Amino acid sequence: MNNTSWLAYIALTAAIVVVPPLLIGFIRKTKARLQNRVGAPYHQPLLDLIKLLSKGELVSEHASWVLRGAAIANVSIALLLAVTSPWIPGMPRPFDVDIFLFIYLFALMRFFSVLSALDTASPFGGFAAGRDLTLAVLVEPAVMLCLTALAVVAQTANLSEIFSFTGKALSVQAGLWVMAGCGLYLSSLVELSRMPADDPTTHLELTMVHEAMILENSGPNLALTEYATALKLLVLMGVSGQCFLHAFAAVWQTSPSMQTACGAGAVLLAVAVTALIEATGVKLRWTKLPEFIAYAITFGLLCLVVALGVVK
Amino acid sequence: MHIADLKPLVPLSFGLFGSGTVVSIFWGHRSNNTFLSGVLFASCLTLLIGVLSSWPQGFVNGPYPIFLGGLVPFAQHADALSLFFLFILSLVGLSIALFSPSYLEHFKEHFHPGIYWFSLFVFVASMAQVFLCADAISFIIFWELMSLSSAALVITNRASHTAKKATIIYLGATRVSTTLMFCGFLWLHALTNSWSFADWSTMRGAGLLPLSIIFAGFCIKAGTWPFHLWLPYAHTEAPAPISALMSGVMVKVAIYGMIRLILMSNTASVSLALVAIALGAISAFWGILFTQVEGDIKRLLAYSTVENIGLIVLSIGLVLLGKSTNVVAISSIGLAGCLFHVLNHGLYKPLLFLSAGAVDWGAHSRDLAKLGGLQRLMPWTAASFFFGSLAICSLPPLNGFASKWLIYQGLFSLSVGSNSISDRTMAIALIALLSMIGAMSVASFTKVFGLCFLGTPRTPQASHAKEMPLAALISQHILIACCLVLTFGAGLIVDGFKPIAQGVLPKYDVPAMLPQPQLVVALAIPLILFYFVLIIRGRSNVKYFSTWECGYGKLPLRSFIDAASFTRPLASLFGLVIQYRTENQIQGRDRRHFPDTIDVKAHQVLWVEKFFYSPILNAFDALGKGLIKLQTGSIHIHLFYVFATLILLVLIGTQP
Repeated sequence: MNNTSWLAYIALTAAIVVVPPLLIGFIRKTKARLQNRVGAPYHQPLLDLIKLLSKGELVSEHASWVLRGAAIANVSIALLLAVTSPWIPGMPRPFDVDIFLFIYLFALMRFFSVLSALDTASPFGGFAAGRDLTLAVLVEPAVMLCLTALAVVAQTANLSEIFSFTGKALSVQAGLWVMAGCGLYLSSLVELSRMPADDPTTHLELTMVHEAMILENSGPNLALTEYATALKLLVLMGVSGQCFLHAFAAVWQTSPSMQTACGAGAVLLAVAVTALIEATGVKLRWTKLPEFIAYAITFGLLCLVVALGVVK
Repeated sequence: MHIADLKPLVPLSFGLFGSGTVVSIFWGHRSNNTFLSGVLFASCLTLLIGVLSSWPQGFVNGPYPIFLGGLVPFAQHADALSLFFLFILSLVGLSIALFSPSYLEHFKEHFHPGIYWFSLFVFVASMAQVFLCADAISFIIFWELMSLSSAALVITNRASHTAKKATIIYLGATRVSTTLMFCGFLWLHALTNSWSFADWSTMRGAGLLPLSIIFAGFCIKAGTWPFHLWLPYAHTEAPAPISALMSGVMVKVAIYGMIRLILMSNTASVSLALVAIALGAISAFWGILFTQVEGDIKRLLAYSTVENIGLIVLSIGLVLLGKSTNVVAISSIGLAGCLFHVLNHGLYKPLLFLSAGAVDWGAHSRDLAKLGGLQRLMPWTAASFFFGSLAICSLPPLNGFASKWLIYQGLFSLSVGSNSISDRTMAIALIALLSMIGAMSVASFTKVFGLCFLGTPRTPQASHAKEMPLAALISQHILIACCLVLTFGAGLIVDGFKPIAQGVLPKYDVPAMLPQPQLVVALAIPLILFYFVLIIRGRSNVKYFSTWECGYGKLPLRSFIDAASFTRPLASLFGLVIQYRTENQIQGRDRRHFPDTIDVKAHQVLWVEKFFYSPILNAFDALGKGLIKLQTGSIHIHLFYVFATLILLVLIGTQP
């Protein structure tokens, strides 16, 4: 390994540790400004994490090793995803993931988070877990369709090769990239429990998903769970942002460092749009959510049609 | 001594099976279960060593003319494919031999040890022999032995009416399956004038129709949609070791038949391939959909078998499609996916059935609504069920993911490599469907593990559950160890299928597997790191308190979510297909605020049963009622029938 790649790895590690909480802070700040509030500083979530890590823990007497194990497992999986999936161009990777592994790692995270919600015998956790699984059943095909369409055009299932600004066939498919980006972005909103699907700021509403699932976590456990969620935000916003970035022919031709800068911009933009939706929109009723996800699936199907038309 | 010198252990193991049978006939009612399970263990171990030493060349024992009345020369022909299936059988056999003795205490006076052990020995030995038959006559004889002995095992619990019903349904399914197979066999015999599988495999074109009939017969035995009906009945009612054997190995015998007779023949047709893919996809979806609303653990596992068999049949369809369109890449990935999934499912499904049996044994219930919180009382069973759930949801980095990944890769190579646009559309649609199935299997297995092992016990009997004895726990952990070996050695295993593929495909060409070991390490390092960080700091600073109950004080046991409410969102989403409805009945003077009773009932209409099988059965009933009029009881009329039949037969026989 030469010096530059060492530097790149150090930069990546720093980014993975610091950026996810900052993105959450960015969403909160943007939202606050849009609602005429001052809002907490950008680095507040980072401080919160540090505070939680140093606090004591209150654990349910019904809880088993699953509650703690799930939090640790989820952080590990989220870290693996952040290290291997292409959320920013020009990132060094220890090894590549393909689209199937990418989607199944998210499923693995869900497996653990659902179990940790059920572990404490909390009715809130149980109901939320049931809802989370239902959403996943609808979201996963949408994500799979978008990514498979890209993979079919790129003739490879390797995720980093698809998002590497190299494949000739993909460089002229601006429409496909935009549609895949829309599909992935809408799915990400559901997967991340952001606004139209779920409200990340309230806890005890009866139709909540994510917040009700992590209700029984506290102290360091909560910190790990929150950090895993933030990492997930980074990866999913990154990947859907990259899709939009790839639609611009100009970006394909610039230098790698410029691409990385644009990639960072794309992540920020995707997060900013999320904040905008959250500041202006309302949460959808639970029964309306399948219809919302249907838009993501529709984008996926459109991608499929394009991909079938492109590859002769 | 060279390893290949151990080959004679395979016939020796049959000798042991035979002696086990004899012992259980004569002394079965008196001898204890431990001794007979020891015999089973020894014979399975002998078989395992014999199989490993014969890999991959195989062997031929015989022919022994004294068997089967000289109709065909009976012999044992083992090639790589037979050895592969024998390997799975012997491993599952080993673990159920360890599991059985303590589990059987559960049935007490309701079962007859002699019949149980006799049928079990016949079942295992005939299953092993089915893999070693090279001709149709001996194949069908041992196939029948296998079916009948397993039916005798399903009804082990003679006090149960549901077990009797299950046995009738299962027997019905096996009858239809055998009939179809025998029709196909006779047809092929008429075409080739031979009973040997080797002669059948060389024919082209003409064999398609009889092979399709045989395929239908195998589909019934494998339990693909719409013939899956017998699985949820038989697997639920059979004792757990028998369910493990049936689901892990017996349904795979049908898969073995498909590979042996259809994939290894020169007759490859696109239409049969498409039928296999469609049946596989529908079974996979249907099976996993029904696991969602199922509250009985073993029934749920049976539906999950339908799903997995669907995936296997789907990959067989991929091999056929690749063969008939001459695309080596698709067929070799399909074959690797099929074999790997057979191996994986043959290990983790018995594991899950044994753990479910342990729950049944320890907590006296299989109903999720009556369990809960078992993790505390049965930690080892919980661990094995947890591992089995991770594997069966095909989550990375375990072995289940490796085989699912191969099936995905097969579909993906079809979607980029095929010339026909309809094939490509189908492939991408199937990839999306498979991802949905994957999400649904996570939903159903988190439900089982979460509601059975986590949280609080919902009933007093669940709070007095006890762990099974050591041998039964070891039996489950043997299977876990095998799954772990497959996880780390995924790449080697896939290369190891080469000798099997030689009989099926002209060339075996599979892409490099995912870096499974690296994946495990990449996940394990942060896991261990964070674990120790948490242990070092904060452990002393933990307070235990009740779960958050909005300040109402201690929650009643039933406030913990149960299976029906947990799956309600998903069930209502697919309500049209699964016809699942819950009804609330609230009674009392002030119903709104202080009801006396709240009763929630779930209803489900099984479509296939109601709209496909019921009409057929009703038609048979009606036909029988009509025909009974013919039976007058008068000898004269009956003599007239004999005469009329004779005339009819003579007329048919003299037609040119």
